[in-house]
Amino acid sequence: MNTVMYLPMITILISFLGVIICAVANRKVAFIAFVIDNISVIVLTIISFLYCYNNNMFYRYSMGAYSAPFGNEIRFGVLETFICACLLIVTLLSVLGGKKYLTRDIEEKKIHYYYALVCLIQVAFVALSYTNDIFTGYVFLEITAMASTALLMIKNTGRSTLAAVRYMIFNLLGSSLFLIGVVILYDATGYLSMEYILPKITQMVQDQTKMPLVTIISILLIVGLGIKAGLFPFHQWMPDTYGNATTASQSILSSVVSKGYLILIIKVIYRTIGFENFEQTHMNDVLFILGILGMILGSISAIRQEYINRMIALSSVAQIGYIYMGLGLGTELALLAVVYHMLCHAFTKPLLFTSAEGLIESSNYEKGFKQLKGSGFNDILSGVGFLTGALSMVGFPFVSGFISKYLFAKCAFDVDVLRTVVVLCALIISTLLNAVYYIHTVVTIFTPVDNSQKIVIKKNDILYAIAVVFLIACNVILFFFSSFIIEIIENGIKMLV
Amino acid sequence: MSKKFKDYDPNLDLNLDETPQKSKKVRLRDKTDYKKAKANIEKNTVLAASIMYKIFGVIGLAIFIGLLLYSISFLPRFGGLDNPSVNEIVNEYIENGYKNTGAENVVTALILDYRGFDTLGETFVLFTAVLAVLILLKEISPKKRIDTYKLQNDIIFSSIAKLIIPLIFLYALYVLFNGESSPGGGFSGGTIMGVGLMVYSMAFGEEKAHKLFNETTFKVVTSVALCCYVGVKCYAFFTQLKAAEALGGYIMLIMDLCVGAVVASTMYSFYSLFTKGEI
Amino acid sequence: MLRALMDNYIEVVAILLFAIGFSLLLFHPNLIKKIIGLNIMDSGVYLFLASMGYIQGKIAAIIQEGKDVTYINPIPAGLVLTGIVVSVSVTAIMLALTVRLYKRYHTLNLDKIYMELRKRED
Repeated sequence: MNTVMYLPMITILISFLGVIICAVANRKVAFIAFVIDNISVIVLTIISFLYCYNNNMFYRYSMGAYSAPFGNEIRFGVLETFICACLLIVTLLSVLGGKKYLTRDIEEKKIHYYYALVCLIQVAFVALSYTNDIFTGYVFLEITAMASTALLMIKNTGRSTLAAVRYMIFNLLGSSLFLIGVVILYDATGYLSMEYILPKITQMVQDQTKMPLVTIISILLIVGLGIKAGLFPFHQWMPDTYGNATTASQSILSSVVSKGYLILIIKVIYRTIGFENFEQTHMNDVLFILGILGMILGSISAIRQEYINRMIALSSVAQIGYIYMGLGLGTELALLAVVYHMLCHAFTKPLLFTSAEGLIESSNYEKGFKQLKGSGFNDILSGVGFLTGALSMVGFPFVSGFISKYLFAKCAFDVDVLRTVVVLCALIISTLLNAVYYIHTVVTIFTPVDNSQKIVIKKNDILYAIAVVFLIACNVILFFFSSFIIEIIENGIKMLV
Repeated sequence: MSKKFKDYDPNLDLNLDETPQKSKKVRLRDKTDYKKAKANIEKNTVLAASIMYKIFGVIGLAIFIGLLLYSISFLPRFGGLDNPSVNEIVNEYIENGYKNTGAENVVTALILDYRGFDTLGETFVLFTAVLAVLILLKEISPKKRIDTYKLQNDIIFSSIAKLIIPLIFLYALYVLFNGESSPGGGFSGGTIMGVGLMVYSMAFGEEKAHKLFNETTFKVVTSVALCCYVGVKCYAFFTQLKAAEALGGYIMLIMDLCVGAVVASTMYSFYSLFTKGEI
Repeated sequence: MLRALMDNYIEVVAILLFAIGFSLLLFHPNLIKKIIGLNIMDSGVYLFLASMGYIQGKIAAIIQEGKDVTYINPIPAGLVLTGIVVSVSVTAIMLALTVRLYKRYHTLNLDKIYMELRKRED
C-alpha cells in the first residue's frame, strides 16, 4: 500500500499524542508542542491532498483489520483533505492571534490545558472530516462539545461560566436528539456505515409505508446537529457564548467547531440519507426557509447590539443562514457555494474577532461602540484587519466574501422561479443589512477623535501581527485564486457520494 | 332626597380645593411607588414570559414525544427474528469473533478490535472530562478544610476498610483480566479500582491518600497509559493485523489494562477534585 | 398502530423516560434538577438502544463452546458502553460548573443568576 494512504490515520494519532503532551507539560513546552503538532498535521494533510488531487480519486482506509461494514473506515478525497488543511491553518492562526490575551484571561498554571483542549478540537475536526461511520461521528461530536465548553469556561468570570452552562445544555440536547436519530436509523436499516445505509433508505422511501420513518430520522439528525451549529430558532446561545470568551476561543469556536458540525450535516444529507430521498421528505424546504429566516433575523438582531463582540456573534448566525439556505437548495452549484462560503467564513471570523480584541485593548478595554470611536488610529493593524473582515462579510470585491455571494446568486438561477425570486430577495436584503452594521462599525472605528489625551499608538505582539497579516493575506488569496479553488471544490464534490 | 341631591352637588364633584393637595400627596407617594411599580411590572412580565415559555414548552414537548411514539410504530418488532439489524454483520461477529480476536465475550471483541477506533475516541472523552474538571475545580493553593467529622476517626469504618480494600482491588483486577471471557473489561474493572481508591481515601485520611496518589502519580499514570494505548492502536492500524495475531495475541489484554488504568485514575481524581480541590 | 406500540413496549417506556428527563431539564430552574433530568434523558436513550439487540430465544453474547445455543445481537451493547462513558463525563463537567457557579453566586437557581447579571448590566 502506498505510504500516502497511511497519512490521515497518522494525522489523527499525532493529534492524540499532542493532547497528552500538552496536558502534562508546563506552559512553554505545551505551546511548542502544540505548534509542532499542528504544523506537522497541516503538512501531512497537504501531502495527502496533493496526492488525491493528482490522481483525482478518493481512498478508503480501514481502521483495523476489517473493512467497511464490519469495522471502522475512513474515507478521504479532495474535498475532505482540502477543508481539513484550510481549517487547521485557521486554528493555528487563531491561537497565535489570541496568545497574548490568554495570559490576561486565564490563570498562569492552567494555560497548558488550553493548548491540550485546542489539540482535542483539532483531532475531533480531522476525525469528523474523514469519518465514514455515523457512530464514530457521534463520539467525536461529544469530544468537540466537551472541549469547546472547556474552552469557554477556562476564563474564570461569572458570565463565562453561565454562558458555558447554557452552551453545554444546548449541546447535550443536540447530541441526545442526534443519538436517537442514529439509533432509529440502525434499527430500521441495520448498518452504521454511511455508504451501506443509503441503499436501504432508498428502499424505504420507495416503499411508501415507511416514508414517515425516513422523515422522522431526517428531522432528528438535522435538528440535533442544527442546535449545535446555529440553525435559526436554536441560535440563542450564540451571543452570550461568543461575547464572553477569550479571543482565541471565540475564533476557534466560530470557525473550526461550527464547520465540523456543518461537514457532518453535509455527509448526513448527501452520503447517508441521499439528497433525492431528503427531497422526498421535504426537509430541504424546511432548511431553506430556516436558513433565510436566520439570514435576515440574525442581521436584524446584530444591528441592535451595543457591544462589538455580540454584534460579530450575531452576524455569525446570519452567515450560517446562508449555508443552510444553500443546503436547502441542493443543486451541485449550491453545494459549491456552500463549501466556498464555509471557507470564507472560516478565514474571516477569526480575523474579525482578533482585530476587535485589539481595538478593545487599545481603547482601554471598553467594548461599547461609543468608546471604540477612533480606535482604528490607535492600532492601525487591527483597524485594517477589521476593515478587511467587514468588507469580506458585506461582499466587496478584492476580498473573499465577494466570490461566495456571487456563487450564491449564480446558483439561484438553477431552480424554479419562486425559489429564484426568494433567494435573490433574501441575498439583497441581507447584504444591505450586513452593510448597515458593518460599515457603521468601520466608520466609527476610523472617525478621528479630538483627544486632549495623547494618542498612544499601540505596539503589537509579533505573534498577533503575524496572525492578522496572514489572515488578511488568506482572504485576499481566496479572491484572486478563486477559479483554482472552485475547480478543486468541484472535483471534491463529485467524489462526495 | 336631600342626600341624593348632595351626591349630585356639582361643587362637590369638582373639589377644586382638595385636588392640588391630593395630587401633591399622590406625587410624593408616586416617587417611591414608581420604583415599586416598575419592579412589579418587570416581575409580571417575567412571570408572564415564564408562563408563556412553560406553555409553549409543554406543547412542543407533547408534539415531539408524539412524533417519536408515532415513529416507534414503524420500527421492527421487539425481539423479532427477521429484524433488519440481524444481518451478515452480526453473523460474522458471532461466528468468527472468537477466531479473529481470541475473546469469547463478543462485546469486548467488538469494542476493542472491530470498532477499536470508537473506543479510542471514548477514552479521550473521559480524558477531556478530567481536563475540564481540573480547569474548573483545581485550586492553586487549597485551603485546609476543617471537617468536624472525619470518617477516618470512625473505628468501625477503618477496621472494616482494612479488610475490604484489598478484596476490592482483587476483584477489580479479576474483572479487568477476565474481560475477554466473561462480562467485564477495562471500563468496569477500572471503575471498581477507582472506588477502591475512594474508600482508601475516606478510611485512612486525605494525607495518606495524597501520598499514595497525588497529581504527579495521576499525570504519570494517565499519560503512560494513554501513550501506550495510542501506540498499540497505531501498531494495530498500521499493520492491520487481527487481534488474535497482533503482539502474540496479547494486544487485547494490554488495551484492557491501559483503559482500566485511565478509568481508575479518572474516577478517583473526580472524587478528589470535588472534595479537596486538588488530586 | 396501538398493536405495534404494545409489541415494542420497552421502546415506549424509553421514550417516556426521555420525556420526563427533558421536561425536568426545561421547566425547573434549579441546576441540580437539570443535571438529574439530563441523566434520566440519557438513561432513556440507552434503554431505547439496548432493547434493539434482543432476539427471541437467544442468550447473551458470550460464546460457550460445545453448547447448542445461539446468541443475540452484540452491537447495541457495545454502543451503549460508549454512551454511558459519555454520560458520566458530561455529568462530571456539569456538576463542576454548578460548584463554581454556587461559589460565586450562592444560589442554585438559574433564573436568579440571570436576573442578577441583568441587574449588573443595567
